[in-house]
Amino acid sequence: MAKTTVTWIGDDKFVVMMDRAMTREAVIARGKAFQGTFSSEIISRLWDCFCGGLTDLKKEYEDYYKPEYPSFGHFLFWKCGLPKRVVRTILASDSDDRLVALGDACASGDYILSQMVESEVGHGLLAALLDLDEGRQSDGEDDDHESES
Amino acid sequence: MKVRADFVTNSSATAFILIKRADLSPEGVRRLMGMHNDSPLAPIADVLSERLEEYGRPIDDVVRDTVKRHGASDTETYLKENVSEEVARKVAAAKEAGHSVEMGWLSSDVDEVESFLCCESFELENDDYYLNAVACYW
Repeated sequence: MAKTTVTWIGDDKFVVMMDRAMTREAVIARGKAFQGTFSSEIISRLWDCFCGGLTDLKKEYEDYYKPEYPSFGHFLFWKCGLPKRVVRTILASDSDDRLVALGDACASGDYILSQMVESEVGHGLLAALLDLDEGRQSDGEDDDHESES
Repeated sequence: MKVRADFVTNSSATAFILIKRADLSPEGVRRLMGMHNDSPLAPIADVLSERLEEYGRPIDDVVRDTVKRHGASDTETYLKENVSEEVARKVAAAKEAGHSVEMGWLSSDVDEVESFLCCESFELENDDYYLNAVACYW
């Protein structure tokens, strides 16, 4: 399973690329928690917190925007407003078994849990659960968004 | 005048009751929370273990020392007014059996992990411990 990458595109919004096999059940298994315990509940809520509000961008493109934009890359750049570098990264590692999704860290409304994820302990937990590629996490603020051919 | 357009909360501390039938340990708290020892959640269990150790004091001492806060001068009265009959019975049985019964408070303004635990409402029990943090609701 390929690693998950996260690119922040603002304070709360992010683009996540992860294996489609990374489901809630897979994440609970990665968390090594016994079913029906406080630990599995925390992991399940972390999943909701991080992945609950994801918009599947490839599905969005295929279902609604394909006639309007000549390629997925154009859709990401012009419709979604993603920086060029982020679009290139997505396209470079895109495949059918990878989810490309737009997330909103505030979508779940689980304020205290999302605050905990910002701590060193919480971030380490999320990184382990989602198999985050720490070296490839970034924000897209340095990218220009002036043109896309 | 300052206007803050975001969540505005005051800090808080919420009570827990811990019955120890075995010595408190990080491994024990991991088991209590329902995880394997090598779970990525282990650091959270370790924080909980550390804070229970740090804040937990014999319940009789805590009730006696904080009578002004809750108005109860003895543990029995305190439990009657603040927890369910079942929990009061559990505490009485533990004391009868010679187990350590402790009480303390988790705070919302120490760090993010304790703040999370402070705001959660949970009750955990296994052979070694009973932890009641049900009063932890906002």
